[in-house]
Amino acid sequence: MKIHFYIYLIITFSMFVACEKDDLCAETTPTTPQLIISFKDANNTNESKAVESLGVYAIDNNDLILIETINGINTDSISIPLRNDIEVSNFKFYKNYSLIDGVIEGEENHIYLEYNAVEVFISRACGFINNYIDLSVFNYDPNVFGNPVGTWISGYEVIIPIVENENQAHVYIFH
Amino acid sequence: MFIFFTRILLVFLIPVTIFSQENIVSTDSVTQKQKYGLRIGLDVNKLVNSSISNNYDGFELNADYRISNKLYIASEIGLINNTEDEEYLNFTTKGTYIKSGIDYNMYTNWLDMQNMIFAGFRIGYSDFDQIINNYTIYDTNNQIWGQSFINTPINNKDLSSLWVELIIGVKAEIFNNLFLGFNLEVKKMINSEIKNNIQNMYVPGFNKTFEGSSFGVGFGYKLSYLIPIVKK
Repeated sequence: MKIHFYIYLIITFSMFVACEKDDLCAETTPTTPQLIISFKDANNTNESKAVESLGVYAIDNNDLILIETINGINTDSISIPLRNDIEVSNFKFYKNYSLIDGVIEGEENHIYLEYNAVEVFISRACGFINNYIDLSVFNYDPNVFGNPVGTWISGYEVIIPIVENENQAHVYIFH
Repeated sequence: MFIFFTRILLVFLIPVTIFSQENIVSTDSVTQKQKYGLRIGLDVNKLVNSSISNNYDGFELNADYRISNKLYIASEIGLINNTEDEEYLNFTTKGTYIKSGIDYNMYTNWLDMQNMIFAGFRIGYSDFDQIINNYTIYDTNNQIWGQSFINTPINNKDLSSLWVELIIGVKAEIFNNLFLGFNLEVKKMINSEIKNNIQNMYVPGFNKTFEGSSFGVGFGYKLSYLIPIVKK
């Protein structure tokens, strides 16, 4: 009988040692939301108005990084990621954008966003995402004095100052 | 998960078949004096894990006391310091726990042996801290700005959890009064206090918690010594 017990214990022990489950973050898990911008007609603010050949670059210190999905498209709505390491994001929006031999061409408009990031716990596997509150938008970097000159964007409106999902536009841009 | 439960089923089918024949023998044996007493021990599995893993330190003392032919009062106390490294975060749980309940011996012993195939229940309680040591913000659109890694710990201190568990297992006398046992536990969380909206991902004594479920599992490898007090 004792022999049976030993064998039984050894078998069960080896079973459980090999029984650890890995936790992976499922791709369907909602991730940190992007900022949704809708473009509206400056003369009729209820009407959507597509931007012709829009290109958007993120300004990371002195580097310009093209957002791959917004590379000269005609669109009236875009989603752009906000920066998580600091609570400020800078972008350059180009209308009639083209890239010829590494030189950016088009009408440039600097957009500056300020917000507070709020960490939201999701799960053991996915950890935390960021939501953003107290969102405000400027037509240029307010730390650099002077009004923007010759920009194609005429105004902004923050529709929802809280970015916690991508269900609707957070910001309208008039042009 | 399915494989896991299949294994649990298998584990409990094995001892049933092993002991079924010997029960017949015990029916025509002479009634013998039975040992009653306090059996104290420790969880070998936690000691082994503590020695092989840098991320785990655990220690558990357990005791049971025979109150009738079939019933034992049983209790475990332990302390655990457990760190887990996940894809997007690394966290440490440290704290103590106590579990108390009753074991029912389903095995009819031959002569004065005190071997057990038992089922029982426990009520468990744990006091613990959960510290998120570091984490990376989960953002699948991070190609532009890069990943944001945060090294400032989030301390959730003085948390507590209360749960119940069903326990099933065996204890066999391997030398005189020295027992080796194995048991499985299925747990159901009753109340787990959280802070900062962060799930308690591990609870000492309860083990890992699962997202969207209040159930948990565990097992123990117990070495214990019987201090005989009375013979009936």
